[in-house]
Order: sequence, then structure tokens, then C-alpha cells
Amino acid sequence: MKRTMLLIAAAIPALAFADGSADTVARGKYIVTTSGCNDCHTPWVMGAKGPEPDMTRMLSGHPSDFPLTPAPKVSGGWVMVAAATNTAWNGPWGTSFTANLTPDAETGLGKWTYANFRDTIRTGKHMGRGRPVLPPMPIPMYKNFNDADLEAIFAYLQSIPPVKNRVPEPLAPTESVALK
Amino acid sequence: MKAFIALAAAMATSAASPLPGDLRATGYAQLRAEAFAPQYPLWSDGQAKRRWLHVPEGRSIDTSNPDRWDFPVGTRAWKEFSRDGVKVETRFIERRDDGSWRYATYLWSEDGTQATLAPADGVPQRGIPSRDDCVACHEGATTPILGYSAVQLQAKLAPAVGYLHGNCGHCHNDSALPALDMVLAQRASDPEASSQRTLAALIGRHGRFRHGEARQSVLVARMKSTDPYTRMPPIGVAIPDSQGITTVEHWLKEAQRQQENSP
Repeated sequence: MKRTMLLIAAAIPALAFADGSADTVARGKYIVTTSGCNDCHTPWVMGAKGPEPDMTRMLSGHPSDFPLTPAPKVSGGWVMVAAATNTAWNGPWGTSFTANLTPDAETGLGKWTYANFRDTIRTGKHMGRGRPVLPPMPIPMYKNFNDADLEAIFAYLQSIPPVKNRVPEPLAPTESVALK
Repeated sequence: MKAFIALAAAMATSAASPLPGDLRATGYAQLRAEAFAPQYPLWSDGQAKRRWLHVPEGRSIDTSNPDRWDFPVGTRAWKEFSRDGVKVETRFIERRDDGSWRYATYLWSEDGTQATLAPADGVPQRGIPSRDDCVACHEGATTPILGYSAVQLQAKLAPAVGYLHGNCGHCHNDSALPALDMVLAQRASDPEASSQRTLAALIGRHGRFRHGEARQSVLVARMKSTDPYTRMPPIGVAIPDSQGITTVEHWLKEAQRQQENSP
């Protein structure tokens, strides 16, 4: 019994986000796993049945050690290309790398406040006031999440295992096709 | 004329009222207003700026907290941008009757006789900010009136520290970006302590500046950058401020030298 109580006590701080309830974290997990977050923020690897997300690096963004050559030029109706990990994208906006959403303090969202997260999604600017959040992040749709959903998503993201992975800064387009 | 001003004032302070389409209806050049100039102005690609503040008669600014002046409902401020003597835009801030703030930009006609409300999304091609951009800078600080504060009007700071406060502190402060561990906003209540804190964040072991090591000098590199994704500040600047950057870089080099030579 004593051991069980200790385990429960140890689990509580991990769930103590937003309104502090496990329901909030569960709701956040439901939204994250049904809204495509892992499609781009978890690196893909080639499995036996084809590309699949590497859940050992869940939501840790573009792997800093993944070798990339300059993106190939596309034409004939094609406008963007993605790396094999599905975490790096190149298009008219330049090259974007998906962010580390895990709670690692130095390379992820560990020091972010809920306000930083909410403002990022609502404004499409890094932390609500920095550089633009770039395609293919679906800000035009995600900014419509209500406050309760955003709180739940953030609570869940703060509860997952931290992964140390410093994602590169985005690269501006080399040609004069920058998005305004 | 009195009736016009009274009507404009009544409309403008209501939380539900729309922004006037014409700058004059905000009270610009109509209401009694104090011209002021901050000691450490924001660089705006070399444009000249003039500023005015209106506080309604019978009301006053609560300055009991030197780091958070509290402006009364009805406070209005205007900032006029001009290039080569030609007025370009005038930005407007107002504290509404519910305590919230609203922001707008008015674009001057070519003959300088009339200024009309800019679209809410701004005019990116002309560097005119959106209203979200206004909020991003002005509501990241302790009070949205950035240029009329104890630091900007009274404090005595090293020029580089003042520059960082005026150009970066509205975002890089304790409340807006606590995750970054880099507070560049200064406190009038204790300018020495806040200045030392800034310095420690910049030239300490994990600081953003190390002379002679380009990869370690993120702060200066981002101030010099014209890359839209890395430059600082991220909005409102397209041309780096070479004089301001030199001031900051020189101060950091000297501080680093002193630190390295201290026993």
C-alpha cells in the first residue's frame, strides 16, 4: 500500500498543469493525437511497412543530427518538398524545421509559459511576438482552437518525456520569392 | 468645433465603438496633448518621430510604481512617422473605458492634409504594422505606453543599456518572454541592479555575446541580420541600426574585457 501511494504521489506533479486535472492532460493527448501533430513534429523512419513516426522521439521536432543537402528545385506544378523525416520542408517561404514540442528545458518547451504557447498558435508568431511560424504548420486552422483546448494541448505537451534536440533556425528563401 | 471634439471623445473611449476612419476624430491636433520624447527611442529605419500624450482633464497618471505607470481611462497617445520631412503614418493608442487598450495606424495622404485608418492587417509592403503587431510589442511590456515611463523620461542608464531597453525590452522582459533567460528591460526602481542583470545574461557563461567568437555572439548577429527569420527586432525594422549596434557591441566588448581582467 505504501508503495502504491508513493507512486501516485510521484505521478501527481507530472499532471499538475492548466487546471491540474488528469482529464485536461487526457483531453490534450486526444487532440494532439487526432490533429496531426505527430505527422510533422515526430521524425519519420522507414519501417517494415513503409514510413512511420519514430515514437521514441515523439514530438521532438526535426532531428538536429539528420544530414540534409540543399533542397532540390521543383517545378511543373510542384511547390514544396519534404525531408525523409517529414520534419523539414522547403517551399517559397524558405526552409522550415518542425519544433521540439517536448518539455526539455533547453531545446523544447520546458520553459515556455502557457501564454507563450497560446500566443504562438493564435498569432502565428514565435511566442506571439517573434518571427512568423512557417508552413506547413496549419496556423490558419489551429488558431481557431478555443482556450480550453489550447490549455489541454499545452498540459499534455508538458507531461510527455523530454527529448534534448536543438532544432535549427529556419532558412530564408535564397531567391526573391519570400512570402510577405 | 467643441461639439465635434466632444462627440469624438465620447465615441473613442467606448469599448464597443469602432476606430474612427479619420485621424482627427481620434483627437489628433484637437485635444490638449503634451509633446514628449523618450531618452532611448526605438529605431524605425531612420524615420523621424514625434509623439504626444493626452490625459483627460481631472485625471492623472498613477506613478507610485516607477516600473508600471498606470494611465487613466481616456489616455491617448500619438506617434507620427516622417521621412525626409514628409509625414508617412501616425500611430494611435487609447485606453478605453473598460481599461483595455486599442491600437491603430493612420496613413497620410501624399499632400499631408489627411490621414485615414490603415487596414487591420497593416500594409506589409510599406512596413505598416498590423494591429496584432501593435499588441505584440505594446502589450508585452508592463504598460502599453512604451515611450512615456520613468525609465524613458527620468532614469540615467548607460547608452547601450538604454538602447537595449528601448529597442528590445518591450518583449525581452520578465512577463513576456520568461523562457529566454534574457531580460533587457530596465527598472527605474533599481537601474543598477537591472543593468547588471542584463549584462550577466549577455556575457556570462551562457551569454549571447562573446567578442571574437561569431558563433557565440547571437545578440549582435541578430541585430545586424536582414534575414526576416532571424533579425531583431522581428518587426518594424528592415534596415539595421548601425550606430545603435556599434554602441551595444562596444559596451559588451568593454564589459567582457573588464570581466576577463578582474581577479
